[in-house]
Amino acid sequence: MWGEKTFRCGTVLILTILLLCVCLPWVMPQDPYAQNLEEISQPPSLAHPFGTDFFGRDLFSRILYGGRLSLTIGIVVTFFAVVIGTIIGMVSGYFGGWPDAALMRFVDVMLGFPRLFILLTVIGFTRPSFGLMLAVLSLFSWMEVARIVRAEVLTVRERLYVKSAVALGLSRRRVLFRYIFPNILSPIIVSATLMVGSVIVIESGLSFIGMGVQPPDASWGTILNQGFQDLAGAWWITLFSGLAIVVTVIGFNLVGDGLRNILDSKTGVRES
Amino acid sequence: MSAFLFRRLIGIVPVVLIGATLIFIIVHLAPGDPTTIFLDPNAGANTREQIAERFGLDRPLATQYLKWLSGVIVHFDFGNSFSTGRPATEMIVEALGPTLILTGFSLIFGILIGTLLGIFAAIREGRAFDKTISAVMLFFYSMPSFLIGVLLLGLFAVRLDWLPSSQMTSLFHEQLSFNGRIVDSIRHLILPVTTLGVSFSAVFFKYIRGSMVESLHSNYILAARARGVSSGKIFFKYSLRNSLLPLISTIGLSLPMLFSGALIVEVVFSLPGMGRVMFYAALARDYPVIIAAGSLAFLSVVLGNLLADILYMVADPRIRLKGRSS
Repeated sequence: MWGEKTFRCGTVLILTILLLCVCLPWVMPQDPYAQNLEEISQPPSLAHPFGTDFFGRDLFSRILYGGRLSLTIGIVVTFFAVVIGTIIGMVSGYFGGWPDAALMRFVDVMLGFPRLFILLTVIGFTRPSFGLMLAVLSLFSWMEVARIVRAEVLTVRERLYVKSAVALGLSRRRVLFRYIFPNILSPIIVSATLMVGSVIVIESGLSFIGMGVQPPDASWGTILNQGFQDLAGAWWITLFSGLAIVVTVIGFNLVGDGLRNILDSKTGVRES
Repeated sequence: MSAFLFRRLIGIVPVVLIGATLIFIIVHLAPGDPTTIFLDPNAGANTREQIAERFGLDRPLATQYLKWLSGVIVHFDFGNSFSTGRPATEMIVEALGPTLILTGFSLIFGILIGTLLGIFAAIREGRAFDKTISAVMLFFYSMPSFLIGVLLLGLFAVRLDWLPSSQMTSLFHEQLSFNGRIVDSIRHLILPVTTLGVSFSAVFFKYIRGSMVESLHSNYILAARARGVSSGKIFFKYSLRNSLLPLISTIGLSLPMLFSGALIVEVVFSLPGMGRVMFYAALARDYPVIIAAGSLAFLSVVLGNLLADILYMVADPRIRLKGRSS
């Protein structure tokens, strides 16, 4: 598994960022909210490796703390979206008939909404809050997973071992969770990994237009927005917060692609 | 063919109606009261009631819904904007122009660049050219489109001051000669179109390269090679044709994503398009405008998917002969 280069690069990237975001605040406790009004909008220097913003706060610490928020949102939303998508996809694929038709029509309708528009509507109409954003993002991200899971269940359902399990008279629940679910796990894991990256991108977009995480809390999108307001002066804010997003998302995309290569070749061997 | 087309066209009516109804419900159930926007905090309760009455918000939701629905079906009337008083459809038709221009040009840009680079990367799979291009494209693929916009804006509009940073035209646009006006419009479009185009091309590149590589490793290509078919013919006739086909439905399916990308890029470059209309309508709790804009976005996505299905059918005889599409 470690031999797959894409997977290895991605894992190293993600682990580095996770380690930095989780551990560094304890190792280098520079308060991301502490304002030093004598050091407003300073370019990168030894004391402040990423410079300071126009409230005189250390940008490096802010990006690390922002990373905690962005990564939390990415992972939590993905978790809920994958759970919802897997349940709906399994029910739809296994039971077929009218529940399948109804659920898939529902998925079609949900996919028709540009996700950002829905978020804009729901969040723009209320006071943006962290919990609301998590809920709305999760509720509008599960459709792809549901489609993938359904398609997988449809093929796995016809395999001999599932048919024999049914013939042995095992309960539906047992067949679904003990026989089918473990065998559709790999595409779920791949799409979950890729989803973390896309959720981070969407969250940064929302926070960028001021509808996501609210100041003084910071996610990478919020910091980008701050940089956008002083693009001519403090270019380093945009550069470093942008890099943080790109590097993280590249990491998750690499791991996802790598996992797909690994799992695909494995199933290929098993088939032949 | 025409029977199929007719069936599909009829089929989208309920989907669109359900979509628009869901939007209506979401918008009305979302917390936040539009009357407060127009209200002095010190105003009495009956002023609020008068405003609610003027917008028809005092009646039960079901009544409001039926009135709205009949307006939409009979006159295609989504009601008047709360904040400007103009018909919502009129405001949206105005905003549709810039959005269509932006997404249209960006889509052409993205498909051309993405497909061409994808083909050449797949032909040279594993070589330096492929590795470089793939790395660059992965970078853009992982970048939010608005971030590309912000960087381009910072470099070319703010630092170098070569190109305008916002709007579709300059303030003095009307006084320019005909050629001057065209040049002015193009200069305003370069940055937003590049932003979205680069973002789209990364998506299409990833797709085309992947499916080309996959088909180049498949048995029928091996058989063609064994028979001594020239490599040019293998690439462009055997492999490319097979890879371009699914691209059609990929484009159709990625329409909502393209829409979302365009919304934020419009906000970044202050283009007077749908994105800005939606953004400010959401902020002002302008129910009629946001519902109309959402329904239109939904309709265009559904129509786009239908168009992709039809193109797919025209291109792929297997589906055409079966008489139905997946």
